[in-house]
Amino acid sequence: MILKRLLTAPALYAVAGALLAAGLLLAFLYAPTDTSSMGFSQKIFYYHAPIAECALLAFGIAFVAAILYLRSNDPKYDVLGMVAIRLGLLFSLLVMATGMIWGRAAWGVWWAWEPRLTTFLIVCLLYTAYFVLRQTVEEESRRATFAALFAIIAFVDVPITFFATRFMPAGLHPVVFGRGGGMPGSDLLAFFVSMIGMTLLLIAMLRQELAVEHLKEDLYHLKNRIGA
Amino acid sequence: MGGRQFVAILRKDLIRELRTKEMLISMFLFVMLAMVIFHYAFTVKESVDLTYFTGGMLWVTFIFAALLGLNRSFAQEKDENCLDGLLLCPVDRVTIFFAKMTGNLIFLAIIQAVAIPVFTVFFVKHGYYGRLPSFLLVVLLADLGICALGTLLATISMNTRARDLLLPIVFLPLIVPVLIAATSATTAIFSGGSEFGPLGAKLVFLAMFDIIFMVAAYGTYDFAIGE
Amino acid sequence: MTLAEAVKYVAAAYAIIVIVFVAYSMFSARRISALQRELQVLEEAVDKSAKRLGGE
Repeated sequence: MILKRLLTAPALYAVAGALLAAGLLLAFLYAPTDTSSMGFSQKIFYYHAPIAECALLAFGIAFVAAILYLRSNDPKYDVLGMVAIRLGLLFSLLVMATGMIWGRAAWGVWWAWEPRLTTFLIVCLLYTAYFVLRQTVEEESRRATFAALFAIIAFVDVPITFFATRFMPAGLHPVVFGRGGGMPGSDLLAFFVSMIGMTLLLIAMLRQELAVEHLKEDLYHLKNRIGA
Repeated sequence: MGGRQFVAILRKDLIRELRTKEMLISMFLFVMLAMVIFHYAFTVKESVDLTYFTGGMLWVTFIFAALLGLNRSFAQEKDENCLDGLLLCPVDRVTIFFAKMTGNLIFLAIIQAVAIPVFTVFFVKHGYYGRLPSFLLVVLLADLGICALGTLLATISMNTRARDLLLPIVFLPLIVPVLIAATSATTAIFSGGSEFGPLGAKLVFLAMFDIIFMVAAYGTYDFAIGE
Repeated sequence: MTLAEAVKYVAAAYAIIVIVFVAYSMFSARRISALQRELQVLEEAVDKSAKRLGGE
């Protein structure tokens, strides 16, 4: 039964929530507070970075689903891709929001054309276009094919965009997250726990969304059968 | 991929365009108008040196001009159901892609052959003849990227309900890397400055972009153009 | 930037994250319950028609 599949999600949510809470506690109580210019505001990163990682993971899942769809023509991969991109977009918006708040705290401005932030802005625009594309195709298999093509092209373009943003002359704003993301005073354990928690949260959300979409589909077919 | 078929499709597109010249004329007018508009938009005080802005102005103009051309190149095929005829021919889909891409590249190059000298005369204060070969290489590599990605996306958007409305929405965010690399390379060449980093890295980057998206188009064009 | 100011920004960032996830789950729960209602209506319709068929 489909509703039963929804019930397994709470367990996953509980583990994710516990890990995220533990990560937060570690970040604020255990991890040393950085006394350099970044100061206390650096604490934002304990969730910001895992969310960014999850956003990219979601787009990666959509990329794999797109390839599988083109190979198999199985609609379930189309649904998976759509759901993954929807969640990736949600996470990307959170990355932008928290990134902007951090930028405000660290540099005193709400927006800086910093490579990672800029990349996420473009990513948001890009994957919003994915949904516009889906809206404009009626025939189901064609919509799935085009959506898959776009998911592939977009995912290939993301790292390219990130490299390209580094060509911009380094002007007022330094590239803060130097190579390897060396952040003074950061604590790897807190990061690691938050990252696992966030990834589990993404997986739980993905499963739930998938279950809802399948439920929708089943309902649709049921209605058609009753109507016939 | 058949060489003869490639030439036939390309010739067909060129001949059709040269008969009416409507696309070339409108693209040309667009470029000139863009120049005038940019001039007024950026002249924020008396005697501004627009040299530093010219790279950006050029590439914004070219990308939008390319959009016009890309939309046209498939709208015509779709309008009279020409595409169905083309698909019925015993031609590889990939051959169609490369022929269309080359056609778009030629139109864009024609526009640039007019626009670049004009923009140079109007905006660029320093001579850059010594760096002309590297500039032309930047133009060629960026054009290839624009036309490879653009032709692939134009094929997809032509098959949707929104058609020419969809293309800019999907094309512009994806072409940002080319815009960044081409603009910073062009600005470096025009201004003669070194603060934009080494040119070689950008050329390699643009070439990589071209290769990646041509390979992507090669692998996916069958799906894009449909049955 | 003083510590008090930094605390405000950090709190705002975490608040936004929590708000977005809570809003998402509320939105999602509403969608699920709407679907369940639809399913219920359909089940009733199926039951009714089954009874009618059984009665004949």
